Amino acid sequence: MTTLNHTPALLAHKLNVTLGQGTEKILALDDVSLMFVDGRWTSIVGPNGAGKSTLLKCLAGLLPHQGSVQLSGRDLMDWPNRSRARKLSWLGQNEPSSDDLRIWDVVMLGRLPHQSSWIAAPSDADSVAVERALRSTHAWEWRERSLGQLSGGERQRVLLARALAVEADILLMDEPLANLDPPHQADWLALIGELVRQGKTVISVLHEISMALHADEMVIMSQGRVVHQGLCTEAVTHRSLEAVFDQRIAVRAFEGQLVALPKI
Amino acid sequence: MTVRSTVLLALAVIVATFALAVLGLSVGSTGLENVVKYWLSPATSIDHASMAREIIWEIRLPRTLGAWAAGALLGLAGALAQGLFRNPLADPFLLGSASGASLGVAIALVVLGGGTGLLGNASMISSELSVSVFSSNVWVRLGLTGAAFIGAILAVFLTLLLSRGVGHTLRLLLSGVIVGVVLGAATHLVLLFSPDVLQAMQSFILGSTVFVGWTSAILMVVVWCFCCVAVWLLGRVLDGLSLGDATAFTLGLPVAPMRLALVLVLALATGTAVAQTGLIAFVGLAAPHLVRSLIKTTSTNLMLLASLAGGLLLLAADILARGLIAPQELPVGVLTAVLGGGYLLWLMHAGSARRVGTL
Repeated sequence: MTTLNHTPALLAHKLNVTLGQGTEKILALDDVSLMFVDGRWTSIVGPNGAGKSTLLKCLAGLLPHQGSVQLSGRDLMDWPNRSRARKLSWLGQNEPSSDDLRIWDVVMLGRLPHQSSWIAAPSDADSVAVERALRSTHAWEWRERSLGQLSGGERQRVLLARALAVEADILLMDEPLANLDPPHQADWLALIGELVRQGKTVISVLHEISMALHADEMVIMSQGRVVHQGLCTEAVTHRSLEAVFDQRIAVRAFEGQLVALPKI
Repeated sequence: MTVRSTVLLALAVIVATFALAVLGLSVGSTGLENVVKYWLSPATSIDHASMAREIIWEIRLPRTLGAWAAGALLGLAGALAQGLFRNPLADPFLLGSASGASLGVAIALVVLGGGTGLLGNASMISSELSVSVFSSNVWVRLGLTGAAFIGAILAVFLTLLLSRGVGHTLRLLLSGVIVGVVLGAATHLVLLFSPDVLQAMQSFILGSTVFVGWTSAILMVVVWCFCCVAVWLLGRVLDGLSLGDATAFTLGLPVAPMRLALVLVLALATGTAVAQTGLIAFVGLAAPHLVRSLIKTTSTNLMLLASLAGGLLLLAADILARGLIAPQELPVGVLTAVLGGGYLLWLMHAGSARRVGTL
């Protein structure tokens, strides 16, 4: 751990998860202990099937597991639903979404944890938060449209806005760049940078290593285990990254950015 | 903008419903004429006027109200089922309630020993213009209604039991199908051993508004009001669930209890409608699609609008059923099946031409 002077936002202790049944059983997480400090962006990377999404689900309280997850020093399971929801925002991968809902209504759902009841009319603060979220992902123009009328990338930007509208301290995102074109990937990077500057904690699973290298910190996983956790700028992180991908990628600096190139 | 179009659509449906209700009060085996006479000049003939009044008050009014309420319950249940199962082809009978209600009615008919036409009686009464729907028959009617309702609710619980709760949508759906098939087979078995009951079952299986009296109509309206309140309370939960269980959970929604509450509302609405009017096909499927083809809105609005649309559809079908071959009449379920099926077919083709994925 490089920075012990920060308070941990999330703490995972000895997480074990088994998926499947009978002979199909696999150990998806094998004794994973991790600390995520406040006000940082951590990206989780690793080969397919390394347990990245499983770990993220555990951190969100979505998956039964052995071991414990602590949110701001308190066991995740002990948090009341709504307080936890205000603290921890989630953007999943390939999740269903209703084609019929208006974009405005979809993003307003992100305000549910803040509303006194499910039938309460949105407050001004809710509307402001929704507008801010929609504008930050450049989706404001579509607010009257329905999800069914958007392309995959546009839909992803709306779902990202939904996650942002919660205005939680911690954002968990599984493949947030899915379907986004390069300019919008750059927008996303700028947006996350801004959030982290505001003190938010971002934990994202990314399969595009070059994107993941923009984070502050990197968790490298393989076969359900954490192989390495360290700063993205450190050479030891780069070497671990190359090793976990069987030396088939190379991390290089290019025009001030770190990029991971596949070796052909 | 959406708020305005939602309100406009609701108003349009309500106005059309009232227009059809007035028409519904004037159409029947006695024809338009004598009732109109009563309205226009009540003094012409005392006998005539009192008969006309009785026809309207004791037969057509409860029946019209009942047809509307049954349609409204099915429309609401249909929109709820489609939202809950995230499947545009879901219909209110998916959880096995229809086959449960059928079995309940079949068993009740056998046990009560009614044989020929306990249900048939009611239609005979209405065609004879007697006003004794309230009299001795009411207990039998309540018994049958109760049996249908209990059957529907038990079937839903059996489905819930088989699917081990509501956590898994696909398992819930499959359990519903299994319960439907098994209870359907059980109903046929009962009918096989008591062929007398078959005829009495006919109008139930085809769906009919003939035997709806004041008790049934009022019961359905009361349940409808309750369901509307429930839908209003739970609409945003359904919106949240539409984004997937993971997102719903991270929005702080208690996913399992809320889904159970939604299933119970679905069972109550469907069970009540089925118990009063039998298996009326397609209203629950077509009403939400009709609304969705006109407007994109939240689950709450969709369910309430689909409810109004369902009421309108069944009211229209009921009037057609009474009017098309008067003084005989068609079972309304046959009409809704033909009209609803045709409408969905048209929607499917129009939809595939315009945008893929409507159905």
